[in-house]
Amino acid sequence: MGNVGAVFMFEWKRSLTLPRMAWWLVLAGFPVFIIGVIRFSINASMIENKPPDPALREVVIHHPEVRDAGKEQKLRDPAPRELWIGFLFALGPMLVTMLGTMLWVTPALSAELERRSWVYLSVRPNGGTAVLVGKYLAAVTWVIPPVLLGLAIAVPLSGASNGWQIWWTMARLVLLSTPAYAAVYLLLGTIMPRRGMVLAVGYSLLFELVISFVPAVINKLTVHHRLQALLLQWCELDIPPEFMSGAISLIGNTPPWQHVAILLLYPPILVTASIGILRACEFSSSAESDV
Amino acid sequence: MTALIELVEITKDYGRFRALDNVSLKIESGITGLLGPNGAGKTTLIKVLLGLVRTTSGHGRLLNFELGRQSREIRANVGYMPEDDCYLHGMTGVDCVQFVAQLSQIPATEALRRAHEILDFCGLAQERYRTVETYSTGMRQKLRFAQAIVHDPPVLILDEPTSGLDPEERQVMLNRIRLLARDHGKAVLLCTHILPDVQSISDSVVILARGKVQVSDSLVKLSRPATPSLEVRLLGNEDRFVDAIRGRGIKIDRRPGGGVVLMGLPNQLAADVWHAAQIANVGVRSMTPSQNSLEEIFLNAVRGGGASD
Repeated sequence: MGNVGAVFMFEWKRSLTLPRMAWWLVLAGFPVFIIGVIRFSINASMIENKPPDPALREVVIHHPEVRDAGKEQKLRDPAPRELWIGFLFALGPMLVTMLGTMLWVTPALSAELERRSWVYLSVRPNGGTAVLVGKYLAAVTWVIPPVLLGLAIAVPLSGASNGWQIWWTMARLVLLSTPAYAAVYLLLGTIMPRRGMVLAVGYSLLFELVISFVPAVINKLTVHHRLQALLLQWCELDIPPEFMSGAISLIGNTPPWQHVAILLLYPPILVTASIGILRACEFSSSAESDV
Repeated sequence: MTALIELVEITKDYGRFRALDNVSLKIESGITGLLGPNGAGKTTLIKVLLGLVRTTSGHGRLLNFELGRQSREIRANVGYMPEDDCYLHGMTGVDCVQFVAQLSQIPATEALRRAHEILDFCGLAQERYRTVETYSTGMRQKLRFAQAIVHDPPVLILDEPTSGLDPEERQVMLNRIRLLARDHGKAVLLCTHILPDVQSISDSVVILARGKVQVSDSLVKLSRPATPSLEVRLLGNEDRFVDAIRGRGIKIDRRPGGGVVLMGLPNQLAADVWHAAQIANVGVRSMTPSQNSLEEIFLNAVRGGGASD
């Protein structure tokens, strides 16, 4: 484990550069920016199209119990809480987490092959395994903080009620989705190091964003399916009954602990598979013509 | 001497291309030069030894560890200096060496101590605190060498360790390799295109061509010509000397650049040389038993194997 720790520390040390820090801020700022833009557009449209009703304003001002019950927002805000949760889920545990892990983990092997440093690392005892696992752990610990920070700013900015509960749900989903997505991208980058990014983008678009919405057994293989099931069960969403039956047919009745267990199994299984591929294949040089 | 590497009928195919063809080889401890033209299979042989590629057929052992099955043990006991100029971007020299030492499962503090010790040995002084991308070719070569030996392996595989070095640095690098082999008991497999390097420090030589072993023997044996002879260099008229020596019934061969080679046992020919020189009235500048140069051995081996570069 010592050599895994060395790679982990090395990767973290290497990430403390201006470009990487800027990228960290971009990841944190992206959900804040999108939620801010939506919030601003809604506020602007409210001012333009629906000037505040003086009678309604009177009710809110003179009856604090209405405000305290959270009804003030319902009266003022045309965007329901469920819509904000949807946006926050799509941005935090999904998009930003996928993007962060994809960009860091997918080229874990190809970057070393291209730099020709792979041979240095792989000729050490278990060097290849240490590089893969060390980079994987560095990526997971690097991606989680900006996503949580971004959500911590974006949730209050959205103005959705029970903000703390939303953030806590999103945080748990991020903690589950980041290791799972990182493991998926690590595997894809190891299967096809030279075209890993293309494979990862293709997988994300086809499986995570399309097939996960298909009500069939195949959607259960996606991380997104597990995450949306947990979101539905953890977030106390106020969904009309006519939509709820459709959601259940898509997500099923699996209890939350099973989704959590499956998501927790993704990293050990997929990282082990990546190590197996690494040992089975011959990634000795970037110049395959070297004889 | 004990067998360090033993390969039995190793074949390695890359698709339809056969990089190693039935290679059987025994390499003893000491310094062994691994020679061959481009595409001969040297790099593949090194990769096979390190377990970086799997063999198509055959088996072998390195330090009593089975190739392929005990790669982890082999890698722990081998220091490899690759030919490729690569470096870990953004790191200082000392960080690089410490990092690879840690990858060899040496604790961080001990790895740092060893990194400094090895960089002292390799002659990287204050430059060790600079980022490696600012290093000159010679410094990078020293750094690669330091990375190969930092975990104190009993076997070193050095791929072109002197390429890109100026003559003085090249000599210093060869002295370091010699020191490690002679004083620290390291076994060294030296893969290079620079024949004088091999001739100056190697105990034995392996020559590969077209994936086959053409020559594998000690340098002393290989340098001995097939028929014993004496090489004579003269001061004065060489033609008169040749006539005089032929008159004594001795077969000769004249060298294009000057000098005469007399066929026969050197100690029996000495008296004839002095007599012939007296008759021809020429001076004898030198008289040495003939030896095959490594260049001749190499060219004969490569041509004999039908390989061309």
